[in-house]
Amino acid sequence: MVLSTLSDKELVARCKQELPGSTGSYELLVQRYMHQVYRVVYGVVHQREDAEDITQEVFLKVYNGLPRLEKASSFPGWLYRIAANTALDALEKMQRRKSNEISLPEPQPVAVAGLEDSVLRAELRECIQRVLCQLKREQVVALVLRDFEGRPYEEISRVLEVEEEKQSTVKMRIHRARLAFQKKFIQMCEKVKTKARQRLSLSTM
Amino acid sequence: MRDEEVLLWIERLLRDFADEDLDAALRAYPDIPEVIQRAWEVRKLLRFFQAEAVQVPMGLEKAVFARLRTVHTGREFLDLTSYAGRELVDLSSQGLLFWLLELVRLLVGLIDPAAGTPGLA
Repeated sequence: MVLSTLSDKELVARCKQELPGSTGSYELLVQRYMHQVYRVVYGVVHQREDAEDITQEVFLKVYNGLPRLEKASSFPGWLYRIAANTALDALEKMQRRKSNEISLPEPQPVAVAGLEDSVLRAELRECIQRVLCQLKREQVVALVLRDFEGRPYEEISRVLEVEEEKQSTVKMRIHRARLAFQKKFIQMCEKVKTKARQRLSLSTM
Repeated sequence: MRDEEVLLWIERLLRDFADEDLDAALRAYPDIPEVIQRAWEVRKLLRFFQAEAVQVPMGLEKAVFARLRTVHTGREFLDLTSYAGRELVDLSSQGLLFWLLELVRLLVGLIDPAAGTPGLA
């Protein structure tokens, strides 16, 4: 049988049978989901090296947990939850480490034409990450999947473990997550708020 | 207006479908536009923040496989390191006692081969 022709569900079922004895099918599963997992992780930590380490950790957790996963069909949602939670755990650790370090004055970014957006993104990163650490896990997952990743509601339903028919529930949770984000952002991001407001013509921030 | 209804309007607004019904609803519930605007601006901010194309770094796949194989090989090794139902790396007092008794049996076995049958502890 050619493994690459298997559907995701079939491949997951095969992995469940084979692990931990053989990793052949699992390696194919890793290849299929590598990009999505890396994007979710990167969406949270926004640092390449950290995202690489965390992605590796995610696939090790999945390797260890997959034999105990009950339904093969619930694999994508389960995988996204592991990815988001592992990334958030790492982010919280980073934030704690940062708060324990002696803070030096940050170098002022030099405004060069065409680079303003990158500079603003870099400034936003620090702040958005602090805000994400203050939100409920479920809210972060909703924001990362919908607003960072643009994933469809059906997929987000599976990750949040909401029945797929109840899309209004998922939409409401995303909406509430955005409002919670905005409230924290206003409280915690005084400096970068003004720049973002000007650049993106935001009136409520 | 129930939450679900509000969400329907939000969805329509986000897709730029403004129509008469929507205008009427917005007039009837004056706080809705502000709530919608707040949510919309968060989406705009987060999309701007995440606008860069994220590519999986070269070599990450290989690194994941290498780590997996290390763990896998380690697990196989641990599977091999059990003897008579006991882990070879078991350093608990019971484990040490077990191995001490095994050693005594082996030593006794050297003196009297009939007495030193391993794995009976």
